[in-house]
Amino acid sequence: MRTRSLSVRLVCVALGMLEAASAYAFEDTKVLPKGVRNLTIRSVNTNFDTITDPNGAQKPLAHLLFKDLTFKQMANAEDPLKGRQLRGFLLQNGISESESAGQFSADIKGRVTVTAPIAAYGITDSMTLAVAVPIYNAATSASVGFRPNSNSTKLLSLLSRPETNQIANAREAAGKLNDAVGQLNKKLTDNGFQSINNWSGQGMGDTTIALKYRSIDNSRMGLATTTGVVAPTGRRKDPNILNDVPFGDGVWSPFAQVAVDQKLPLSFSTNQFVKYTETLPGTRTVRTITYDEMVEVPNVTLDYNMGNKFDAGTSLRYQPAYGLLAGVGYTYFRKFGDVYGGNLSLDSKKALQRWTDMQAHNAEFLVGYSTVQLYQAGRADIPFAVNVAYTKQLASRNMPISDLAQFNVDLFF
Amino acid sequence: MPASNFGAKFVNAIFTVSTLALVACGGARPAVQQYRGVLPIPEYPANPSRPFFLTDGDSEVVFNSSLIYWSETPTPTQVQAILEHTHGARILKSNALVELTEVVIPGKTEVSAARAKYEGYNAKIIDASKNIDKSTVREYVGGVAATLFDDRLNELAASNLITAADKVHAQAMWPAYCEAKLWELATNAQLSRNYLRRPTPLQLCESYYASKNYFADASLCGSSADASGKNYFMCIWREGLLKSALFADSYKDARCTPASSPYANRLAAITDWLGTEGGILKGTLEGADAAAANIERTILLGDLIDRKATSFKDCRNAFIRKEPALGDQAEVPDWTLFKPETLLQIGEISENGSSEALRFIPLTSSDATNKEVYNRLTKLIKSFSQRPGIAASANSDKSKNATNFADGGDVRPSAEASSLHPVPSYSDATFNVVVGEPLIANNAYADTVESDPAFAGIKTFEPVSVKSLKAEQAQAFAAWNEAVAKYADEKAHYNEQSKPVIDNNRLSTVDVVKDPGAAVYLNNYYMNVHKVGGELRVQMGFDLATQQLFGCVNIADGTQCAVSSDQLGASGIKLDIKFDNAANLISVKFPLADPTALGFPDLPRTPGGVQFNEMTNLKGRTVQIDNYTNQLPGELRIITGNGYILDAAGNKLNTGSITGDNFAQREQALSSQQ
Repeated sequence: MRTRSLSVRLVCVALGMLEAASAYAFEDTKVLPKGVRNLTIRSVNTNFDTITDPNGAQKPLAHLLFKDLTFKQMANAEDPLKGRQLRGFLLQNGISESESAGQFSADIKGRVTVTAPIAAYGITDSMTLAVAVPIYNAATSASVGFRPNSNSTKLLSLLSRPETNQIANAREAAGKLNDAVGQLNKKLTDNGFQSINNWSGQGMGDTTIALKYRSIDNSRMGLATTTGVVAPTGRRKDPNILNDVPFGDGVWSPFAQVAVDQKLPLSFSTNQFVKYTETLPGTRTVRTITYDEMVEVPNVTLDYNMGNKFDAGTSLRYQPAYGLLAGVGYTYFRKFGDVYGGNLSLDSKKALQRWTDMQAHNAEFLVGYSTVQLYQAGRADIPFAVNVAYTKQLASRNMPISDLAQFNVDLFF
Repeated sequence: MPASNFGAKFVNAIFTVSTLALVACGGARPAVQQYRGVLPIPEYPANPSRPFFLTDGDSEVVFNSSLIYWSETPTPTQVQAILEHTHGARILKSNALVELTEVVIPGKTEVSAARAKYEGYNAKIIDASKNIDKSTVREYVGGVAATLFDDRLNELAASNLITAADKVHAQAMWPAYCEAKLWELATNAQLSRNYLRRPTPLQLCESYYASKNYFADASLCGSSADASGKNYFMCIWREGLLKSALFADSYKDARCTPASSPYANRLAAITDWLGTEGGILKGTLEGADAAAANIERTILLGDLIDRKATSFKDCRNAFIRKEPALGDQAEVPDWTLFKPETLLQIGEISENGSSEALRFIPLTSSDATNKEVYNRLTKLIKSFSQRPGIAASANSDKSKNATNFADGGDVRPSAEASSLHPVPSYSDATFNVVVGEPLIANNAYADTVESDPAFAGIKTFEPVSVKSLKAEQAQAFAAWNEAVAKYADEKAHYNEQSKPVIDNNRLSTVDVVKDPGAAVYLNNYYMNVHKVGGELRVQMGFDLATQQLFGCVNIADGTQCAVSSDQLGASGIKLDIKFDNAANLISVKFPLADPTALGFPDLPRTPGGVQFNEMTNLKGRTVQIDNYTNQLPGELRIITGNGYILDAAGNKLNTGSITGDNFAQREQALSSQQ
């Protein structure tokens, strides 16, 4: 079973969430006035159970667990002599080792909530420093099944026919096939994995520190640049938990962003932004999987270059003076493929790097209320903003299909 | 910013937002529960009332088995070859037993039934023939037979099948055959019976015998005045054999051996043996020991005199003749020098005509001519000359029909596939009128006569009822004949095709077992399981072993029972035995205190060797063998399972496989029925 690949997919989920927490279509060039502090509480929720493949086709998140159990795998699971005897028996009866004895099926559903307090401070009237520390709360539920096919019945029938009289072996084989999931979990635990069960975790994600500088701000437009770094403070992927959701990349990632606002009549405005994140080399502990074997493989710590990221987006917002916030936007996300180094076979490198090149096209919708303009006009006691955003994934590649619901509260003081 | 109330509002707002955020953090939705298929668990072929397939009525099974211990790395191909052999052997053996039980044995039953049906007509025919005037029939047949030989020679000559010289030659040799037939009858055990009329050596020869004044003494050879008949032994000997040309002066005057013989010559010896009522000669021929009597008869015909010490030891050469070599077939030899047995071959000319007897009645080398002559002459002679008791032993034809097929068991159609033929009745029923029981003529040759134009009128003597019964009997004979042929084919198929390919499924016959890398041990063992009440008593032993193994287990609870010291003897080893009734499993263990004595010697594999053992340090180890039994069609019982070599802690050091069956036991039991 290619169980290791499942964990790769769940890393994608976490990455997507992380990006959702930091890249947001409704960017602007606004900065805090000097000495003003801002605390934004951003909460992002998503449920997911599907994913896209390299061609963009939608598949169940656990589709990689939909695998045949072959007679070869059954033979490999036995002790060497018994495995050879099984192979001889298959040969005798014209059954290919590659034939399936049945198929595993699985369903995995996940939920991730990220609550990210983002604290900002206006250093000057055109420069704001911000720090974001996301808190992850993630859970996955998993169910694995096995459906024996006619080959299983045939094998048992051949073993137990009178002229063969291997009924004890047939009974043992039937027991193992009926407990194929248990056998799978046993194989996992025998090799240091946790069995496939429900999982949940909570913890801090990677911390983002950013400095935003607005260089242009006139009646027609604004332009701001943001530079910063993502610090690897989040928990990394545990290579021994297949349905684990990591909370961080585990590498330092400096980034830079340019945003442009165009002020339009009737309280409309637009924004465009581009962002590039350079992930710095690091190390990572992974299983040395191959396409053929993904369980009976050791953990190794490897040099690791996570793929850089590119974000771009545009939005149209409507923000009249009485406080309404509304907008629509589009974002594009791309994460380039990971690169593993070190003493690793080519097969393992290929297997590890597979499906790590990701991209997504998203549509975003925003509605909210802000007292900032009213406060500035002396018509409100507290400057704050509240909004709800919904991100709809339009298309993606190697990404979980995880529409995001965001809730943002901005407080200024 | 009005800071006065800001702090409280701010904290309140933070709390609210955080609460909302955390409330939103629930668990993941439950995954859809996936189907987990459940395969039925195969059942053992166990029947509590038949532990190990044994009952009180079928209480013992003997398995011939093989045990191999695998090497650590047999290739799947090697495993495949071994599995294919053992599996294939089981199928072959099972099929063979099915063939025996469902085809061969029923075939024999069918033969017996067909034979009974056929023989059932005999009494009916006899009963229906009671009113036939046999004297009229005899006169008719006798009239035809008197000149039949000459008539046939004339026909053959007229057809240019034989030359005039052939005809002269045949006529010159014909008396030789008639004389031989006289000797043959004289040595026939049936002369001990009573007859109403003198039996004839051969009806065709009666005119010759008359010309030689044989059987002239009416007191000896006349018809019986008594309805119970009389014995014609002395008639045939005194008025026949002793007058015969074969009992020539040179023969009868020859001195007896050994020199201490009280007899001056053969005539004196034979006269003494014959006495007035047949004496020792008659007693010998009608002796209770049929085999001995047959030898004596053969001796009297001139052969095997030195083969057995006989009643005639005082003149052991009394009947010996040293035959001259046959010269050119055109010559007419002095046939009085030949053994009667040799001369009898004149009437035994077969279609193939390879017998030396061809030289007595010259024929051409043409097969077609020979066959024609056979049809017209020799076959007819045989129809008159076949005699019960003689025919059976003289006929060595093994062709598959009811009249000739003799293949063991109680199916002996050649001797018994004959019918009562009161009408027509030739050399027997017509001329050998027996008191008390009918003589048996050979049915095959009856047809020859019945179809011979010379005897076309014979059927006019048969009542319609007899004709009808004979027709039905002929059909019954055909059915019997067919059943015998079918049975012969079935049995031949089993013996010649099915059984030879079975050979033996012991693994010693599989070459791949001896290939390097497949196995480290190979040996055969037997296992005898005997149900005695509520116990299973097991005895087993390996080839090359000097010690046998004994065990006993209670069927009810699988616990061991005592093995008697008598059974164990001085060298027997007690088995640690368990029985699992639900799995039909007998598991045995025994310690290898003396590996060599138990069949586990150090024995390297050799090209022609059967056993080998490359396991080392076996002393002190324990052998465990799990014997699972099953039953295949034909009631072939098999055992399969695993063998282990265990160390003192019970760890499995070597793993093996067993295969065995009770084919030999079962086949032997069934073969006794076929």
